[in-house]
Amino acid sequence: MLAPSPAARPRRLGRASVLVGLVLLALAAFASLSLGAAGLGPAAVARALGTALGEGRAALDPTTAAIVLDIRLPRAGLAILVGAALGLSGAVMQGLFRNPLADPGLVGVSSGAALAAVTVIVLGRETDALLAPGLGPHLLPVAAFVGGLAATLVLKRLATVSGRTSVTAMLLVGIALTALFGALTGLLVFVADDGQLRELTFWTMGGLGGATWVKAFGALPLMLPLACAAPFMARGLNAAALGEAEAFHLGIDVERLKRLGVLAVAASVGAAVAVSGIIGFVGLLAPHLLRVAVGPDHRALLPASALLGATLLLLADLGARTLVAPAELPIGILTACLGAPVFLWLVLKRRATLGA
Amino acid sequence: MLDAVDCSVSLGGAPVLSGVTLRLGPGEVVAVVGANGAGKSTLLRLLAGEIAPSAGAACLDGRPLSTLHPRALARRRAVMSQASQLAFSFTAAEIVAFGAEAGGAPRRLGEALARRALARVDLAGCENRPVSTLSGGQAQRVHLARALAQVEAAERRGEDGGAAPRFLLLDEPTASLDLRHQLHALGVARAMAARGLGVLAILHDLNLAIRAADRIVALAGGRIVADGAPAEVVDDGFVARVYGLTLPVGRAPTPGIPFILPQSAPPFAPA
Repeated sequence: MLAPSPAARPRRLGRASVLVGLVLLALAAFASLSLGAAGLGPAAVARALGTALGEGRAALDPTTAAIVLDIRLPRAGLAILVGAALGLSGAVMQGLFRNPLADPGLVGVSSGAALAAVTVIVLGRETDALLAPGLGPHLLPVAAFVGGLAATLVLKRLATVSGRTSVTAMLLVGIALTALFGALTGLLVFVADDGQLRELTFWTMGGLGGATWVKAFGALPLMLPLACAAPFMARGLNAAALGEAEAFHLGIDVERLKRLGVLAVAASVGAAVAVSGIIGFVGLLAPHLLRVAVGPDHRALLPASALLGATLLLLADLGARTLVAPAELPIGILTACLGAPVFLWLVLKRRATLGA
Repeated sequence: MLDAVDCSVSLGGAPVLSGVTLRLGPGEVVAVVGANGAGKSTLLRLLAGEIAPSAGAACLDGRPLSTLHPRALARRRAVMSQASQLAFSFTAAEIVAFGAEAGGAPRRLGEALARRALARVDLAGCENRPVSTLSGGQAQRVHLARALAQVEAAERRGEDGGAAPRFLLLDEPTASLDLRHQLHALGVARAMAARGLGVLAILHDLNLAIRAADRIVALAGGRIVADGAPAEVVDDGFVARVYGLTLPVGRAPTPGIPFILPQSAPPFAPA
């Protein structure tokens, strides 16, 4: 009576998409390790990695060890971490807002996080002495998290009228928040000294330069909650696509889902901004491409968005490092060049319904 | 038993329901009728556990709905709301499978139940079509199928020894359906009741309500003004109380079944 279903096709596609995502990510990671200003090719890097794994770092020539293990490897690691966090945050946020246009970078969450981080950099100098020394690597991520959370709450509050989040309101409020946070950041830039200025440019345009394992591990604790919660949120986000009342009818504790989602996304985006500045559009691009390729089911979409986000950011970083070598492009500019046209296309496609 | 006991509900400060008492039992089809704004959808949302009464209590087997976890509720009742806006491009089968999974079916069984529920609402062959490409009436039937899959999955799961009755709450299940599918949808509702489910459906077509329902509950101004078997409650006075219309209620062609013929209404004119 209940025959094996042809409807199983989307699910298998979902699993395949995660596998394909892993392969693409591995390829991108290896490309990122093999290409760079130092002219150390794929073969040399593969050999160096093998030696380091097998015989330890001491067996390597110090220059190669420094380039591969201290510069490229942590940078690739950070790119994967930040890209995955951004891709996943975008997918979850779009699910919560029930709208494919909700990108943390676009609606003010990232700029809220950046403002908080910049505040800590500029005004924190005076208070540095008061802080416990061990707090250093965590202070920026935590500040960015608080900033991102505040921005998300304000956004959700202002864009929601009697339980419904209006797309138009969300985008407009996002524009206003981004402008406001940008202006306040500008004000801080105005009072900053030269050393701080260089650090600040990095926040507003994004970049993975100066990546270290310390930075990566400083950000990781704030990215983990979203990664751990995501598998449990997938079913709720699927149901939420039908509407909040319908999600409740389907057994979802909607308020809890929203609270958890908003908190975890803010933490994840905050941590990403803290280590890499504002990198827009990854959270828009990755889930969007995947919805077209494998469908909107969040059970496949969430892990695949993390993988594709990581892959995209690795490639963007590769471009940022190599296009104008030995100089470096800010990575946020590259992702915007790729993402903005897609965003425009999304808007045009939905132009008829946006006024609603 | 799904009960509303002396329930009052206010939305945005305005009273929508006042002192409503209603019991939905297993095996019966109850049609809720009334003018626009009479409080029909609010009554359904109250019984679904979506809103809490400001006075009185809404209970499932004597336990207030607000004390039950959404997941536990989802295994006892399914709801089809009025046309909802779908955020992403899910296929018909995926949407219906969400219902089956909410009812507690594992994923593979959920997919099989989804196909069966879609066939049940005459949508076999549309499984892999995005809901956004379906017509309004077809999309409506997808959501009916979702509710069916949900109660069916819950039944199969057999929690509470499988003996506890399930409930199906349908907000205008026949809206935007063609005549054939209106009758078909109500046939499905009757079949579910025959299996022991309690079905409550908001209906606008009185004649359909009379044919399909064991009981008709009429709301006017947030109060229940009639509750009983169609043959007993539907008369000229009923139509006047519920809709403020002077319309003669006929008897026939099937003996004893009342029917309303809008042709015999006074000509359209300013009241």
